[in-house]
Amino acid sequence: MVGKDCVAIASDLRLGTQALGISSNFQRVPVSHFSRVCPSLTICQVFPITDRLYVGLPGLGTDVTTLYERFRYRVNMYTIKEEREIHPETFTHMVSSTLYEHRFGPYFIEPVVAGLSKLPTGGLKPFIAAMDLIGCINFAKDFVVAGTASSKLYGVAEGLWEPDLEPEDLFETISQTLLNAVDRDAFSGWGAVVHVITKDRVISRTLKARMD
Amino acid sequence: MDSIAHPTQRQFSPYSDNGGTILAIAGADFTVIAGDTRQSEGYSIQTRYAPKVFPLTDRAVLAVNGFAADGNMFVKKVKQRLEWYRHAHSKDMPLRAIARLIQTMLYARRFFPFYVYNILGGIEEDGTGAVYSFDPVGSYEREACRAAGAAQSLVQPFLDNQACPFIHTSPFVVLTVDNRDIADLFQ
Amino acid sequence: MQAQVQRRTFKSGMPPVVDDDDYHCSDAMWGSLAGFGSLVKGVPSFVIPSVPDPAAFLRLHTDDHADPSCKIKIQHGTTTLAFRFQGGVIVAVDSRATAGSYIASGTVKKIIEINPYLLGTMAGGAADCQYWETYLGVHCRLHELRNRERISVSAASKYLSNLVYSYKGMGLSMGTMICGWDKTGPALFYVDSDGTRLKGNIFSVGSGSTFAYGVLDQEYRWDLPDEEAQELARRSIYAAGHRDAFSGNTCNLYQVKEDGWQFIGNYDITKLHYDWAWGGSW
Repeated sequence: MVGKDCVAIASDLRLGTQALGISSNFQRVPVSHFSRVCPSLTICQVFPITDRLYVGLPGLGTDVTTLYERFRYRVNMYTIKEEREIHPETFTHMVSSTLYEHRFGPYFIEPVVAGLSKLPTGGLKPFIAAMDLIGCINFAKDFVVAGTASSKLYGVAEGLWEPDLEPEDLFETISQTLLNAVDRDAFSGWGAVVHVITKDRVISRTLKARMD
Repeated sequence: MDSIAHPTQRQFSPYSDNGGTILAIAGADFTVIAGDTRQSEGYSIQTRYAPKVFPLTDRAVLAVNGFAADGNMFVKKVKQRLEWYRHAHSKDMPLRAIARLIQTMLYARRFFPFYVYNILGGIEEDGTGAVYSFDPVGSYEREACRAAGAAQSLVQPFLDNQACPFIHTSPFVVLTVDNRDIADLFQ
Repeated sequence: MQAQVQRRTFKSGMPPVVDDDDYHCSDAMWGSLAGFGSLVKGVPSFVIPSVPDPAAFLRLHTDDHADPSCKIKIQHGTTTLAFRFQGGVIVAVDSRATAGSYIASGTVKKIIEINPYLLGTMAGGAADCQYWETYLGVHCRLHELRNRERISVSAASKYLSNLVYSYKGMGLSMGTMICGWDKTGPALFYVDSDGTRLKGNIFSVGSGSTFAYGVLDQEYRWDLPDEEAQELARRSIYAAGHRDAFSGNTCNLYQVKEDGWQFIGNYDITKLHYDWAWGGSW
């Protein structure tokens, strides 16, 4: 979600195989998401890529780990080669092309990217994007959602979000959106984590959520 | 040249989905009940004004969603039964009785269901606002708020949050906080 | 094949289907007996689609396991349990109803109060359980009026069992426990739509039943004090609500004693989680 000079990214913490919940670890944690295509382990994780850039990877558990490691590797190589940090826009295109490389046997992941991008003037601009599992990018100006609870998230976000929210209000908005959406989804929940990225700090909070 | 004749298979498909969304919220002594008026089939809009919410008595309103033909016929039959009740008892049927009537009417079609999701809103005999929601074969429950139809999964969590908090949902409590200054992360 | 809808008798041996005109004009329709009014004539009548295999027709349009995209979604997923012990029968259930991954309701009443001495639980088709257990209640009352004594739990459960058995293969879906107290003391029967009827001490039914059995079997004793039996039931439903995605929200708890059933309470499963596993409160 986009706020005034800040962005927020949030995720639940459940890892499960269909009906069975397996894990509800904290932070950078597998969170479960049910994959309709493949009836095996499904999760979602939110990873920091740079200081002001996070990626959320909801989908099949094994692909979350694999993809994150691929992104980490490519971002590190980029940083070494270019001698600068990757921009959110650049990273998004990198994610997209990585996914499209597997067009006919895709990773079961629908990534969400959130960060602050540097302007030529030196200022920072909120940036968010989401992709489908083969890399079609959605550059939204307000909010993006993904995972098993996506339709529920859309409904609440559409009702609660407004432009130019300050970091604390954005935190409240994204938290309420996530909690109320996952409480109507059988395959999501078991804890939640929220990161609010501002100019000079990242505020990470875990929320008390329903555990059933 | 005609190819070899194949056996033909036919299927009885009496259902279609006409989209739309309905919702109701119960208050202490009132009920709000609403529905959109678009009727669609697939990507086409059949009409932009086809009401889905129908007054039954002075204290009962029924909203129907799903297959429009079934819905309209069902409302017609409910109204007929309520009129018969008025003739026999010289009064309107109370809301909780209408709810039970709807259950038995839906269940009578257990093996050939009405493809209809019903929400009944109104005022009980004790003056309280009430919402009853039904599945297509008649299981029902009195609730505080309910959305049904195409946008059910979008509307219902928002309703949980705004109209009847904490029945389904988590209270808002932060467990852990981790503030990391970007400057500290830079080294 | 006919593609028109008409009401007709299903086939010999199946419950009778009353003629259209008769059904709509019976005296009961004019009164306040709702649909149950017609039961003086026996089993209520149902409209059957005019196709060669009505059960296959129903399955095609309603079964969400075979076809997730089917239009009419019937709610599934549950954990219910009941056990007999020194203090009577404990009955506990969760309150979640799911349609696919969507949690359709978190406040379902899965314990049906058939009469002051009988409870029935709900697993499988919500409407099937609600309707037939209400119907069973009507017949238990008629039994009382005719015989000047309450129906035994055994007889009540057998009535239900025979009734659903007459619809076997038509697509009913019920897994229920009939719990009560009669001349023989506390009684518990498992009845399902396949026609199974079992007498027993411990039963758990539904998608979360394996989790509930795990806790229940570990701690169960016949001579459990009332308080401990209630706690065991809550603990078992919590275990299922926590691990099973299709169970959860709240736990409803009842106890049947000699003078009838008592509602013990409604407990938020997440509150139970934080009370026990976290030492904090919700």
